[in-house]
This record gives sequence, structure tokens and C-alpha cells, in this order.
Amino acid sequence: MKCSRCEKKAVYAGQGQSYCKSHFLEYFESKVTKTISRYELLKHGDKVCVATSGGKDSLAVLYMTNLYCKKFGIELFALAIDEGIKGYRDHTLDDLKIFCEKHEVKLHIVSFKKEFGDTLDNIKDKAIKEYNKKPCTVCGIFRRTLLNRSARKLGATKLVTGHNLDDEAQSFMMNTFLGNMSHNASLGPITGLNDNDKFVARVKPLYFMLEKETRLFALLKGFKAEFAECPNINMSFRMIVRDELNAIESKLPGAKNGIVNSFMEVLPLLKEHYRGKKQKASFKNCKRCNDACSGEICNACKLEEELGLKKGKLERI
Amino acid sequence: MKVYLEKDNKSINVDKKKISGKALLEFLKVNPSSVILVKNDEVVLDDETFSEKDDIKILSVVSGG
Repeated sequence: MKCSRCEKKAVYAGQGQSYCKSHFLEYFESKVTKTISRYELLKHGDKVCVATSGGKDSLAVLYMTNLYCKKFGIELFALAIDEGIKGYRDHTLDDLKIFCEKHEVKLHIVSFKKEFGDTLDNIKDKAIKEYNKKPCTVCGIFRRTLLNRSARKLGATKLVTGHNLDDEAQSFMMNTFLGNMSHNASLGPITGLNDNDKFVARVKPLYFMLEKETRLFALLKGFKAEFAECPNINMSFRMIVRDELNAIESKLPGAKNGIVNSFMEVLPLLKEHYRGKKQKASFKNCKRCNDACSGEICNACKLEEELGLKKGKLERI
Repeated sequence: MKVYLEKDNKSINVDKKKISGKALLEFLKVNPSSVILVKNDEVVLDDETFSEKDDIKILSVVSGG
């Protein structure tokens, strides 16, 4: 198959178009830049923190955000969380350090071990056996908390994540299957803008890019991001939804785009519908760490307590 | 022909002299939307024909957790 724009051989085909290498890179960069501009994800005066792991999504989003920030004179740094997953995170962090050095990006690394007292590898057995908690649940709560706290401590006004269209379609379907429609109101290309001054607004420049497009971009750009799948994903609900959506996509190309585009049409209604309830609940300050939360104690502190971990060392602001 | 599967980090032998990318993925029961095909270090689409002398890789697009 040839490229839709020139005579060269195509390396990608999707949604009625096919692209050669150079036109695919042009398509990818243009679509990400348009997403940033259209949804005002980044603005002049922002201090941008890119949450990154060294995997293909985060290297692609770090590269694209850095490109955008350099063009518009916006300050940027990278932040990585070392959960302590041997044979997985240590490899991706090595790739990340090389990438940041090459692209002159300042990198901060914070770890579960330092901030919560132990690695995920050590925590997960106890979490599964004694508390019936999946590793992804523990990891998700600690990661979200640590990303927000660290970004805020480092003065960030925006927290960029590498979530792509597949992630968003999966999250929407997972919330829908579980009957958690209110959680879908918290999705979208930009979230947390007006929630609370202790939350750094989260933005997703790869929001409309497929996982396949993101991997291809990283591959064609020559980023050193070898295949690395978290060893704990076999236990996750997300993996089931991911595989089912990919099976549907192969029979009905464009299905994942359809899910996210349909979701974007109803997102303003969902936000409006759940806004009132959120305001009524209002945010309180966690009695242990002083972070914003809906109850007396935030989820991360509850989890620290349940798992018998020491109190985090991060400066509580 | 020899085919390298990145997700499993192993090479397997496929008893074919010539095969299209689409047929190869069907034969291996691999979902096309979750992989990228590489032939002799070049990314190709599934309409490409592979022969025994080609270096074939099937890269997985999923990662993370």
C-alpha cells in the first residue's frame, strides 16, 4: 500500500488514510500539537511537569511536550516514579535517563521505597494475601498521590501524562461496566483545573492518539523503548477490557476512536451533572498528610496504615 | 520461516515458504491492532509478503500496566 500523500510505501494505515514514515511523523506531531492548542492543555507561564516512566507512551509525550514548550518558551521538567518492580521499572528508568540527557530535560525520580517505606514488589504479597487488594490498586493509589504531591512540591502548574486513546477508551468502558458513571466525569484531555489548589491540573496531549500510533512514533523516531509489560498486569481488569477492545477494533476499525469521540460529546453533560454533587461533598484536608480528600483521611494514608508502612517523607504542603 | 514475537521474547518457526502479513497474523492468532510488523528492519503493513529469507519481527504495541 502506498502513502495517501506521496508515492512512498506506507508504514501505517488507519481511518481511511495511509502514511509513509515522514508523513506519519508529520501526522502524529500535527495531531498532538492541535490537541494541546485546541483544549488549551498548556499555556505561556505554565511550569510543566511530565510524568514519565521511560516506556513508549511517556517518551513520546515527553518528546512532544518538550518540542511544544521549547517553541513557546514554557518551562518543563520530567518526573518519574520508581515503584520498585524488579525487571520492569529499573529497565524503563535506564532508558529514560539516557533520553532526558540527550534531550536536555531535567529529571526528578521519586520512589515508593523512600516515600512510602517499601517497594511494590515487597508490598504486593501482603496486600493480596491479607487485604485482598490487587497490586494495580495499591500502585494506582500510591502513584497518583506521589505524582500530584511531587509535582506540586516542585512548583508545577500542569502535570502531563502519556495517556492515549486506548487508555481513555478502556477507562470509559471499565467505569461503565462497573456502573461508576461519575468516574467518567473525571476523564477527558484536561482534568482537575478547578477541583482544589492542592491538585495540579492533569493534561493528556496523546489523548487522540492510538496506542499503536504512539508505539510506531517512538519506533520511527528511534527512541530506545523496548517492550516492557508490567508483570502485575495479568491480574488486572484493564487487561481484559484492553484485549476485548482490540478484538472489536480488528473487526470494526475505528471502534476505539468512536468510543472516545462519543464520550467527548457527552463529557460536558457528565461534568455538569456531577459538579453539583462534587461541590456538596467538598474537599477536606487529610488529617495525616494534609492533602485534599473527600473523607477524613486520604486513600494513600489509609493504605499506608493498612499495610503497616511508615508515613511518607514528602514535605506536606 | 523464522518469526520473532516481541511480546513473548522468542522466535518461532512457521512452516510456510511465502505468506502475507495478514495471513501470518491470522495463522498465529495475533490481533493486528495490537502489533507492528517489521520486515528486514523496515516497518511494513499486513499486505506485505514475507518469504523464508526475510528477517520478520512482530512488535507488540501494548505496554505499561
